[in-house]
Amino acid sequence: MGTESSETGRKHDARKFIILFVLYGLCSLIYYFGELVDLVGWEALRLDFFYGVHDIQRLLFLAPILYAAYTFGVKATIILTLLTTGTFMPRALFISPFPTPLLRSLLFILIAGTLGYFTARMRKGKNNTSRPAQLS
Amino acid sequence: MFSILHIVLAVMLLQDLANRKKVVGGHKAPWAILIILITFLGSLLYLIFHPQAFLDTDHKEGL
Repeated sequence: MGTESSETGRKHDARKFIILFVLYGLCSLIYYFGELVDLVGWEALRLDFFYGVHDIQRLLFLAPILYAAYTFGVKATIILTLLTTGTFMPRALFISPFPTPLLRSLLFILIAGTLGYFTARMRKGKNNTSRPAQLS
Repeated sequence: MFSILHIVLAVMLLQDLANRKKVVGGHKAPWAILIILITFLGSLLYLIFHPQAFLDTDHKEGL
C-alpha cells in the first residue's frame, strides 16, 4: 500500500515537472516567435505584437517562475530564474532595437525572482503550520 | 554577465550531480562536461533528464 502511494506521488510529481517544462517552453516560444516567423517564413503568422518591446512576453515568464516556487520551493525558483535570464540574454544583447533592453530584462528578473522567493517561503510556512494540525 | 549566470547555474547543477546516486546513462562525467562546456543548453538538458534537481532537500526526503 505504501508502495502504491509513493508510486502515485511520483506520477504526480512527474506531471508537475511536465507542466513546468511545457510552461517554460511555451513562454520561450512566444518570446522568440517573431524571429521564428522570420526564419521559417510563416507570413500568415506575422503580427506586430511579436516585434514590439516584449514587456508583455516577458511577463508570461512569471507563470513558470511562480509555479516552480509554489510547487517545488526556493531552489527551483533560483534555477528557473537563472534559466529565464539565459533565455532573455540573446534578445537583450543582440536582437532588440529598443533602448536599454538589458536593463529592462534584468529589472524583470529581479522582480520575478523576488516574487518567486517570497511565494516559496510563504508556501513553506503554510506547509509547516498545516502539518501539526494534520497530526493532531 | 552571461558567464556569471552560467557559472552560478553550473555550480548548482554540478553539486546536484555530485550528490546524485544514479544518472541517466549511468556515468556522471559526460553530464559534468555537458553542463560546463555547453552554456545554458547543457544545463537545460541536464534539468530535463534529471528534474529532481529542482527539489529542495526537504522535498527530496519526502519522496
